[in-house]
Amino acid sequence: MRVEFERAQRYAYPTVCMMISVDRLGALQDIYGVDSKQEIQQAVIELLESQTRASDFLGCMIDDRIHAVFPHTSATAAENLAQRLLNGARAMQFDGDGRTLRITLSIGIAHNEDKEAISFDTLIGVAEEGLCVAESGGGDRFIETELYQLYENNQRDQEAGGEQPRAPLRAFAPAEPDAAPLSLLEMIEVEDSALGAKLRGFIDAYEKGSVSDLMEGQTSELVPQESVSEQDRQVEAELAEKKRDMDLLQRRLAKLTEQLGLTEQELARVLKMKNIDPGLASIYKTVQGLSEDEASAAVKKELMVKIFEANIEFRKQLEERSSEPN
Amino acid sequence: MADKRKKEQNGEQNKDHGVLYLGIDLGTSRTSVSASNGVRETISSHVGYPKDVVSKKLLKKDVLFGDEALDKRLSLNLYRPLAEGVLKCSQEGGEEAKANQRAASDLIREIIRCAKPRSDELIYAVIGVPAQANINNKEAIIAAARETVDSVMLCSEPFSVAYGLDMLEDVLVIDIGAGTVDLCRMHGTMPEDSDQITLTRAGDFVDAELMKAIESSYPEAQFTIQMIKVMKERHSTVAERAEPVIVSLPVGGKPQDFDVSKELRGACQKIIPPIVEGLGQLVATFDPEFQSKLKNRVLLAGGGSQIKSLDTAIEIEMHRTLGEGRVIRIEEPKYGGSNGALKIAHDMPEEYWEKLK
Repeated sequence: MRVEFERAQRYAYPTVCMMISVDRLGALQDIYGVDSKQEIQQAVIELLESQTRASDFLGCMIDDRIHAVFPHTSATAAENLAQRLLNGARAMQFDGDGRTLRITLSIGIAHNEDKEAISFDTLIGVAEEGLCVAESGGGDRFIETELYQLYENNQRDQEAGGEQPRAPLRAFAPAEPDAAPLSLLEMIEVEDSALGAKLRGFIDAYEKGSVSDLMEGQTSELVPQESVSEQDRQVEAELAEKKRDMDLLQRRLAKLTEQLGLTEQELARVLKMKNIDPGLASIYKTVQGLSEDEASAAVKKELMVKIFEANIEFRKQLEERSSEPN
Repeated sequence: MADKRKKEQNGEQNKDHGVLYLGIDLGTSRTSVSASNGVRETISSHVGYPKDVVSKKLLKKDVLFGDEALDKRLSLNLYRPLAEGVLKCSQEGGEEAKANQRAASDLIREIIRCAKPRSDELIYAVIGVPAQANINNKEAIIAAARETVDSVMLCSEPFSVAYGLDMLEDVLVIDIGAGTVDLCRMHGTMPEDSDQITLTRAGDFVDAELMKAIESSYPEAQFTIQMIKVMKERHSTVAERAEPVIVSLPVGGKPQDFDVSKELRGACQKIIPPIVEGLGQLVATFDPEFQSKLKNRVLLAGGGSQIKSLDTAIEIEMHRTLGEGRVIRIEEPKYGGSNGALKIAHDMPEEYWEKLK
């Protein structure tokens, strides 16, 4: 898989790495036995194979997780594939001690389209982080993170300092296997304490039912009261001016309409006096004829011919009659 | 005609500002026009000329038409140039024929004028004539029309009704006018003589029957045929259960109310049997495979179709005598024929119009 990644980098084509795990697989094994676990894993692998072309991926199983690399696959295509895998897993059913078992998947996605995705380890690390986030979020989802830069920076820092590179974003993975996973808010607080504090304040206010006050306070901080009043006055002034313009235009329009009516009346009077009726123009500027799109066009065309021929025949009869000696 | 000739002499043949299509329905009682400039007009087919110099001075016109002519008929020589669907002037005769010819020409000229044509537009007109109009009738109509339009064609009236509604196949058309009831069988091609039946028991017949019935029931009442016609057009019905028709008629100069429900219903019902009999003839001589379809596509048109419940009454009679039937009344009885003629005018190819100029 590493070789494939390096080839992708060399020839600049997109490659995706996925980490896939079955949610609560350990618990399922505990309840239904190792055979059930193997059956489930085999089914997931078959699902993966069925959703991709045979040459589309390389994979291996490490610690009950499927590591897969998809050459020539864009990030968008990877998301679509991940969604199909999730749907396929949801549709699966297994028999466990007379009970029907259903499974879901958690998927972490990483791609080499980010400029910081310069090493295979980065790709793996990012996919693992995504998988951890998916599992922490309750599973049955896929996560695509954009933590490449963080990974690379950590790698460089550690190598420069001679220290062992630490796993970045440790907060996103449980410190101990049995420890409860961090909530989303806690994760954010670890990463960005200021943002986390604001969010916690918002959540506390929501729980107390005083969100509007909080929002108003936030807004007040951003927009000084005096400038709001000044803006309102300006807007009102502009509106008033526009209204005056509209009134003026409407008055002018009414006057012109009245004058037009008088002119038309005068014109009609003169025409009547002179016994002139200009007539009404037809809507047709040219001779129309039957449209080919007309329903029953063929039948109507023939009828037109018959009518014309009948009139021609009648004219001939008239001419013959008029040419007969009396 | 004089205007047109003068224009030609002066080279004023500049008619390149558009094409006005006219669809004209010449009826015994009413004449209608539908035009491609949006105009639709209908006038009663009456033409009146002032009787003498005094009435001419009073009326300030040389000729009056429609309801205006009826209103002023005491001062006019009143003509109804069409009778039983044909032009009276086409019959052999002396002064009377010439007068009717003149009235017909003026009527056609007037209905075209009602369409408000522009002088710089070509006018192409299609005129619906009664199904069995003869060569003399048609000649008179064309001669009158050619004075004011650039090109004119004639077509069968009931056919134009069906064409206007796009009902060209397996349809029976009943066109009830004042002078005639035209029955026409449509089967996707031009109707031939064998596809058409003309009955003379129509609107005028109903007027005459109603007049006789009221005279018989109320001999003291004073009325004219025109009053009978108005009464019929306002209250006509064939329904057995309808609101009573009370009309006011003078008796010795004093108005009095009369219940004419029975007389009116009886007169209107008299046109049903010949219509259904005619339909039966047309159905019986049709392809047996399509007879049922024909009976269930009967189109009721013309001014007479406005008689209330007439469609239902014809259906009932068809069920009794022919086993089945379905009658559809057209939505615009006054303009059904002229709308159809307009559509024909619109669909006619240009080269055909040119050849008939």
